[in-house]
Amino acid sequence: MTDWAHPSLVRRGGAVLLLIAALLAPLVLTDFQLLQTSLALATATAVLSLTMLMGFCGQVSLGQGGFYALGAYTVAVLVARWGIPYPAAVLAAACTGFLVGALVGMPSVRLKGPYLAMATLTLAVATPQLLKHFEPWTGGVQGVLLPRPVPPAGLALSPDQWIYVLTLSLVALLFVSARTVLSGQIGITLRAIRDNEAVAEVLGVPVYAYKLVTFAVAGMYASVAGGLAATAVQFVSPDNFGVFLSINLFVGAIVGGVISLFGALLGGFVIHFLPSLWGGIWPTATWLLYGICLILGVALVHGKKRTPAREPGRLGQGDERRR
Amino acid sequence: MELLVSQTVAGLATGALYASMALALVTVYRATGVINFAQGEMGMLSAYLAWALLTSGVPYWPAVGVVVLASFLGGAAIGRGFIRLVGYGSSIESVAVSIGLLLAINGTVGLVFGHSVRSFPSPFPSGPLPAFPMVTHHDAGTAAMLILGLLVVDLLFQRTRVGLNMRAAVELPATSELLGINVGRMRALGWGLAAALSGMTGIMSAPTTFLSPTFMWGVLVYGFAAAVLGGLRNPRGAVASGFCLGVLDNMIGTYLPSGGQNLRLSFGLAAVIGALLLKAFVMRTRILADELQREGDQD
Repeated sequence: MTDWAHPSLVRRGGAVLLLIAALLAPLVLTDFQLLQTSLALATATAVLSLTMLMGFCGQVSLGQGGFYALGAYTVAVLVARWGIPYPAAVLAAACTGFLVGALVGMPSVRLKGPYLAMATLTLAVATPQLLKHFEPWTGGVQGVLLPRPVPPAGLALSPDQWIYVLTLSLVALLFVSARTVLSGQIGITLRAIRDNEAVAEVLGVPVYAYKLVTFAVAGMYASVAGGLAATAVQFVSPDNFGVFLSINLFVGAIVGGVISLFGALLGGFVIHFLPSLWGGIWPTATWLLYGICLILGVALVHGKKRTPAREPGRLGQGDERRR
Repeated sequence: MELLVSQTVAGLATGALYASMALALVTVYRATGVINFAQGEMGMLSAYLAWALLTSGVPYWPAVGVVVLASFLGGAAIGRGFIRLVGYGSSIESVAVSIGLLLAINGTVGLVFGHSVRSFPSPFPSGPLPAFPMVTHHDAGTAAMLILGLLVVDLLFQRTRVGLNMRAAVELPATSELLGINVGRMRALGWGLAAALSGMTGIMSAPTTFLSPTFMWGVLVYGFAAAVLGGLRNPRGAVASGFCLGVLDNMIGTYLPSGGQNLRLSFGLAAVIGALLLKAFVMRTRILADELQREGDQD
């Protein structure tokens, strides 16, 4: 007997339906709407990178926008300055994202909670300045204009449709591979590290290596997301990659529930579309709205559920948290 | 040589800003076990409030006094709510709430005061000191004011009953509770002190960096670097490294060829990473002991 309502079946069916809907979208949506959807998909990938890091590995990063910028600029420089085709440039963005992620990760993943969050936040704060400083490559404040991607001659697609198809397939690939890896042994190991690092270590898990690779892969995902976004808008400039981009992605990950891949998709769409929807009502208050959302979200979801944690204390065991 | 001396003195002014921010971060960290990412924004809000008072004609010192007092009360209230919401210790929730606080404050200020850059008056005469032509009155005044503030906070912690209670509440919450100390109030007091400190920092740094909703970011980053270098649980260490970073920062601005000024934040990044590396590799045993103890307490 088949259990039709089995959760995994429902989920898989839902994912397939979603993909079909996404594939049919070019028939319905205008070019502008498609472009926005491509951007939202790219944002969702960046949020996914954060979900991996925070939800599965327990590492809070507030600097994911730095990797996003890295990817965007890799694509921009390769395409606009050296004339390398877009797909190769996005691939290169993936590689640089991974490498830089590993490099930044080497000192960073040794850090815990607040230290890591603050170190990555510093990365986010410094990103626009670094971009402005290396002017010969990055074009400084002016940024870089990219040529419009040309769809292959055989396909009857507009450039925006072509970008959408490329973005959708790459993002789908990234989500599916993340899903495959995270639902398997590796995902379980990562969650063990998140929940109790000491026990994982004792059980023989190479904690540092796992964390480092997760950090690097998250860097890669964010970098690809940036590369895709640069492809879609064909323009990059330092001020688009400020600290609020990273915080935006963080908000997306929290909104998406941190632990679910579908949530990452949702979070990406929310942070991409909410400001423009909200903008019609009260344009300048987006950050205020986000802030209130974050605080209220934690208050509502988290509220009384929290298991009492203990505070540092040296005398006996009794020094527990009091409200 | 004269340049070196002058730059060191000017660096102390910058360092006083970083040291105050570092002390604010450490105070909150000790009180609640979290890094308050909104600390810089709280200082920014105070500076805007001071600006509003000053432009409506209130004289400088009363305005600053009112704002610092208001920051203290507001900070204590926020701290109370924060602890009520996420409890003690660092978690994704606590990071989320402090980021939420950051966004809410930033959004509110942007909404009320706008995003344009504004000038902010200094209480000190303009122009350089007669003895050091490279040091402005404002720099010297900032250094003096903040060093005074830091001394007062240190005395408060080390020499007063309230300070003793605060330290006890941080070290041994349950034991302190049994001894009749109101732990929740002491924690809120920590938040209030931190808010007052960062308010002072904001007001003192606004004349040189100008007011804008993001003007405290640099100070926050450096303050954090200092706090990590000196130890998140060690107020005096954090203050000392704040001053060191300030002097170093000024040296970089002076001696590095053109463009050094634009890279100041990136230097801050390098300082943070360097500080963390130092922590991670050289003083690893200390961190490990700290973590082990905390983990032992949690499990």
